[in-house]
Amino acid sequence: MVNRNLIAHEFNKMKQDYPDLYLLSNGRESWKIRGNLHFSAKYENHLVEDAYIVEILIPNEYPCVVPKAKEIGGRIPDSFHKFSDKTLCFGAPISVKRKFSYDRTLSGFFKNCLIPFLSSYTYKIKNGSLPHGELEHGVKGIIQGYMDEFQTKDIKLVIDFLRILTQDIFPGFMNCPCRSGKRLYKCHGEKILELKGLQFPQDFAAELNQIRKFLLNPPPLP
Amino acid sequence: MISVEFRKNLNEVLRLIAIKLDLNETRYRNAVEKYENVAKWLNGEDSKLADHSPAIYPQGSFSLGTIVKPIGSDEYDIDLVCELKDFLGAPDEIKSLVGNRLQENGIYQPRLEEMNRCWRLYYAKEFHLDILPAKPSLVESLSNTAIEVPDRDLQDWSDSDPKGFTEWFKDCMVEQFTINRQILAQLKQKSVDDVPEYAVKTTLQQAVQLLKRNRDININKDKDKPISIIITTLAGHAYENQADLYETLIALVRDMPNKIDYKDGVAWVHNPVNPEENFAEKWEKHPQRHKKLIEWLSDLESKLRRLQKFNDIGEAKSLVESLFGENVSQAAMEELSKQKSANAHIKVTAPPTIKIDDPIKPWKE
Repeated sequence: MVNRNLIAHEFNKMKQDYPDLYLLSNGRESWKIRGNLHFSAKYENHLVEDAYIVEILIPNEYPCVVPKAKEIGGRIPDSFHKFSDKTLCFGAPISVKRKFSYDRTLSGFFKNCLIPFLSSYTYKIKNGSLPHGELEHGVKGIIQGYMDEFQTKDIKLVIDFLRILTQDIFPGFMNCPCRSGKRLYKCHGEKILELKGLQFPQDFAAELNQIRKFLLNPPPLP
Repeated sequence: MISVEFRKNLNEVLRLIAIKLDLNETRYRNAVEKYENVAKWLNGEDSKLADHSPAIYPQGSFSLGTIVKPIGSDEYDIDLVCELKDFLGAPDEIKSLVGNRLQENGIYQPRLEEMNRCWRLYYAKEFHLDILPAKPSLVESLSNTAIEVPDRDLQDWSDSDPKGFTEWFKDCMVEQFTINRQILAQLKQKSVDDVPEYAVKTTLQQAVQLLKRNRDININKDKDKPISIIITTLAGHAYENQADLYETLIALVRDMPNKIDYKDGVAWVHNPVNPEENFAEKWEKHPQRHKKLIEWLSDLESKLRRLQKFNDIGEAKSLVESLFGENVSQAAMEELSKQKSANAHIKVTAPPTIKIDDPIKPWKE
């Protein structure tokens, strides 16, 4: 059950910057935030200002788990990056967890997950494409997400890193799979440790499985 | 792309227009008080109807919360059902029974007018109450709120289910309704249960009001104009609980045509509570009415989209007036200006600029 005082405290801080938001109870101690989110965001030298009517669902395990959000004004079509329950898909699961981990508060969620997504959509409507690209749907997108995390285009390397992440231990002394000649702890180890803290080994194992299945049986071309 | 300020002002103007077309709270409560008094009279000790436990309840747009002021009149049409239990007589008899009792009352008698199937009580410059006598339906396949009303010739009974239709319509907008009620309760610092249902308006209700108004302003004299029950049913099906009124209007006019069914080449707008009933049954004989609906929606969609070309609500004034009528649009814009002046002293801080570092790319499962 989420801590009511924590939510109220974090929400009241947010309200100063985003006054048109309301904290509502779903009954049974579950919470949502709804209202008009008027924001201003800057990426490189692009300034984006817009307002969307949003609904933020605070999960029971908050702040261990990332909140979910929907755009309920009717501006963002379901064909854009959304889950089947219409919540917004900010990025590949591991990347969303990583971004939220930097600041596990409502304010952090807005800054690192929700506002960048919404500002991307505004940018796309104005300029025709997303400002920092998008991932493909499904498993392909998960692979691309890991490629971005590890800054590599080598899918075999992604699989090697994922295999390490499925282990309980951190094999810091092994040679880094990237073939730099360095030990893991002196090379990609820091990244591995960062991601390791975000989900359980079995979660990485499940993703690795999905990726292997996908590579063995790629879906037919349209 | 619409700016934040213009979108906010446009939505507010649309909302104010819908409010100005609606019954205000005083009139609403007045209407309820009046029909409750009629019910008391019909149930009076010496009333011939007393054995039938007459119950009066709203139907039509009054029940749905989508009532709009008729063109060129200050009087609202308020539709009511007068349901009599255990009535075994003929359709014309049920009408006479109710009418006779109303005429016995010295207050009602001078206000009373006999209509085709119902009795009308006039309250000048406010509203008229149309009281339609009915009895519960005995047809098992229909819902337990289904009723029978006299048909147009008073020869036979017609099926109806206004309570059922209202429940369906409310279900279409339950998300918006629940949240708006909670927000209103917070703003008024009351409990949710202390906020009456009629005080809560959803974007569906207001969009339906605006659609009906646009129809009345632009094609009122056209005998082939779309009827309200068809507009309301298609809108209910097309609605996705959007919270932005402008986006709701655009989505409805775009998606309503797709909610028309076709069975063996015949267009159907099914009554959601009685699928055997086709609200569009007259289209077979009058196919131009189907065409009129599609053309009207398409024309309205392009006009609504044109609103996006403006930067300022003042620039959009004549388009808004052509959509919803000069007087009410002007009144709404004036009220928006007054609101802004009243709030001018409140310092509105701009939101902080978030610097996006290391952005992640959106994904889809």
